Amino acid sequence: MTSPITELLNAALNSICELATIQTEKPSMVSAPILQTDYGVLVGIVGAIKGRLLILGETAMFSQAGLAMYGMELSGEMLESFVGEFGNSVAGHTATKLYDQGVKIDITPPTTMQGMVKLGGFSKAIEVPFATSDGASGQLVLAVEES
Amino acid sequence: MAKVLVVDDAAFMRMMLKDIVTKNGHEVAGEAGNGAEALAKYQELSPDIVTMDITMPEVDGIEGLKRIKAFDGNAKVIMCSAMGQQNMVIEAIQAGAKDFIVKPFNAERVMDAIAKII
Repeated sequence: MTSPITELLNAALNSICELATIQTEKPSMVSAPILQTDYGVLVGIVGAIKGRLLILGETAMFSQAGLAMYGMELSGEMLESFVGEFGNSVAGHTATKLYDQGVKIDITPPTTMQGMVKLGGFSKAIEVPFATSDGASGQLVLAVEES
Repeated sequence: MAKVLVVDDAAFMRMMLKDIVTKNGHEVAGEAGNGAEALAKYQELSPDIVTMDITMPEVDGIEGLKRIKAFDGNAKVIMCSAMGQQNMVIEAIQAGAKDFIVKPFNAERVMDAIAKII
């Protein structure tokens, strides 16, 4: 039987790869605080699986994601707003994929973060680095609470 | 020409929808950032069509839809969400939504939905 975090990870990775043109690297357990450099978005997950989905990345990564999803390069306030929408879209598509597998989750509105932030306190979290075709980097982090 | 109320907590999404709606000859009557604001704007502006996100702070889009339909049973609401699972679509349609657009969308999909209900 697949563990909840594996189901969530697979659905989240499939979603982010479908929405933005990115290449993911090997997942690893988070063992140290995570450093955000430019932008980040946090979405809470409730329901059959409880946890948090976090996407961090360079400005260029989110800008290219905006281009891939909506055909326009974004900057300034619209990019800041898109960062939240990107997290909402990845989490929303993740929820849809899990529903199709019989797992019902809901998501919270996104919380966006800007600037240099050190994030800690993750236990049982998985981190997946990724990069766009232009080399802009990001990280997807999933933390699941034990039920 | 239809008067459209755009409801989404993300300014970026409101900008995208406003751009699509106005470029296709309709008017954006107003904008709202959650379901409670949506009802207030609906009562103030009497729009022909509402586009409604689902995952929003304070009052979500499903509740916003229900409040608008309770105020005006003839309200025409198009849900516009990244949450496209079957149960969400069914709940929205049962609550009176006319259509359900899954994000990310393109202009054609939005205009098709508007054209069908005006």
